[in-house]
Amino acid sequence: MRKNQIFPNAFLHSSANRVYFVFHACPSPATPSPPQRYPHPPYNIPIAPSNPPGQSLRSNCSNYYSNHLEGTVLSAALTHVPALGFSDAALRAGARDAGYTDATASSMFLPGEGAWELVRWHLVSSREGLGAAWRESWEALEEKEDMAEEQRHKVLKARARQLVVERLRMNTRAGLVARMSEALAIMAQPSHVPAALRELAWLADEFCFLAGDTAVDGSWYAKRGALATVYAAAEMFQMQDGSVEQLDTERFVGDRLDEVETLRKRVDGVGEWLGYTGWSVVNGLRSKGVRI
Amino acid sequence: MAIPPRIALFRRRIPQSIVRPVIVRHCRCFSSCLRDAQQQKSTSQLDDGLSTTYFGFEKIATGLKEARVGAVFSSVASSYDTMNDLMSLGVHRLWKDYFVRGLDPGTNPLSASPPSNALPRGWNILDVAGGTGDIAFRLLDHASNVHNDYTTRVTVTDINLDMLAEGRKRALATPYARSSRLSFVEANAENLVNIPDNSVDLYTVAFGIRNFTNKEKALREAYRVLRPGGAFACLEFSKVNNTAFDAAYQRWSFGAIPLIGQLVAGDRDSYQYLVESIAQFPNQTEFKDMIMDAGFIVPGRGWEDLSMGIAAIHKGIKPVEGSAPQ
Repeated sequence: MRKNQIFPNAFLHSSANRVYFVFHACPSPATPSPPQRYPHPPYNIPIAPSNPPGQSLRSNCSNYYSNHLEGTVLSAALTHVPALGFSDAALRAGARDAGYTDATASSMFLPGEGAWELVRWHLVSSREGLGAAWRESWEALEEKEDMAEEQRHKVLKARARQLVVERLRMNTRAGLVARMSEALAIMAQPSHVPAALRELAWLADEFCFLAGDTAVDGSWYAKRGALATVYAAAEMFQMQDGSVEQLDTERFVGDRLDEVETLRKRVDGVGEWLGYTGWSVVNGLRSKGVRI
Repeated sequence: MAIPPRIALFRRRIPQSIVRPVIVRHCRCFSSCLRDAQQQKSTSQLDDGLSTTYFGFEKIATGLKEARVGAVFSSVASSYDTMNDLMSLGVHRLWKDYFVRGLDPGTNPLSASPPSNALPRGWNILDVAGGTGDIAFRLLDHASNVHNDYTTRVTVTDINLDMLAEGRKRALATPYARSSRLSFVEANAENLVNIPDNSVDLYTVAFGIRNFTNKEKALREAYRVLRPGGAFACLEFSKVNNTAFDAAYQRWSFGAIPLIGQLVAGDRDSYQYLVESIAQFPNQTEFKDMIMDAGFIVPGRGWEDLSMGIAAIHKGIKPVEGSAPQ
């Protein structure tokens, strides 16, 4: 009876190794999964460059708004945020620009939620605007199956850095850097925290997706967690950054990603050592007749 | 539309203890229990091509509803506030305050940006079925105090002259009695003859629409008078979502409210009608669909429950040309 327990154990271990090998070292792109099942469309499908805000590349992510009234008014309102802040006043100004009235702006959302909806709209539309242009200029990673593991990581990191910087530049281009502290205060309100964190998670996922990362092993969480942390820290840094063209922010992003890379290597090393030592101990004990 | 099974079930149990003893003494023309006995006869009479509508649980000819509702409100006008306080335990004031705060009426004259002079200063608000002025005074107070907007004006319409008289009387205690910002107009919500097309920024109706004979027609009329981008806002009793709470609420409304009506206002029948009309009103989803059918864009989920769904705020926005709802 005890012997039976040994074999499944060993089998699981080896199969885990195989899974790791198959998905991590050489992802097989031969049969792209149908898009209904798999949230990422196959990379070789060209995506229309004009992607109107509110329609994600990945439609399962962010369809908050049931009709395009909200999108029209919020887009117009964002242009008033640099002057009026994330506020009902900006929302009203946007509604007037879009041909609606003040009554539209105040009836559109639940009472008191107008400012939050503006913040969320900025987050969503920026994320969706990160867009396909990046991906087209990049060779899909899986085309180079012979690429070494370290090389892959290098490429992914470079792309992630570019994407994070691009996303931060979107804040600058929209003139919102001075207002980001306001947005942060709104996001930090208890009722908005879950949605804000979800939006951050989706942003990190978008970074990974656009960078061409297809790994589905344990590093899935680690990468997204790391990118979310780096992005949030970089946005905080950006608010205070007075350097020319915010070059300090870009350097900051690079440094943080380097740290993540270092950390990954160390964790990998420690994990490898632990795994090796652990199995050595187990096998040593087994050779002494211990039934484990 | 059939009587909802929940109500039917309830009626089987309650009349024994509370309603029946009163009924036998009073000769009532539209009690739910008398109607049980008369139902066969009355519906068969009405089946010969006459259009019918509900007056509480009672099915009556469409032409009669206006007069019957009129009688109810004429009879409750003077004790309207006391009764509302007793029936809702004062909560109706909170609902109305919240309703108005959410609408945020008024535009600060300094905030209106110069290039967009399309809007005349101040909002033009139409408060339908608002005879006693409850909502109108709050709207004007909010515009003045929050937005420093002294140009927003409210037209209160009601079909019932007694309710309007009550509102005029109350207006004397407010700063708006002699100003041009507040006017009282007698009008039928289904046919607002004095209100031109595309002229209203905000159309409010609080605890009124369930008494309308033809709600769809009233909604279409609201759509007509609102300007593109104008908002329709309705505060109305709705359906409680929680079963346990609903049981308690039904007991309260069918057991206590007519009794309170009898004791305080000496008028049981009117209050019996009120609770029946609440039970008869469509639920949140159905009413949202009615608003959409009238042509409005319904933002977000379309409604907001108050006190677990005892009341609900529904909103709709009239689309601007060229941006019809998808």
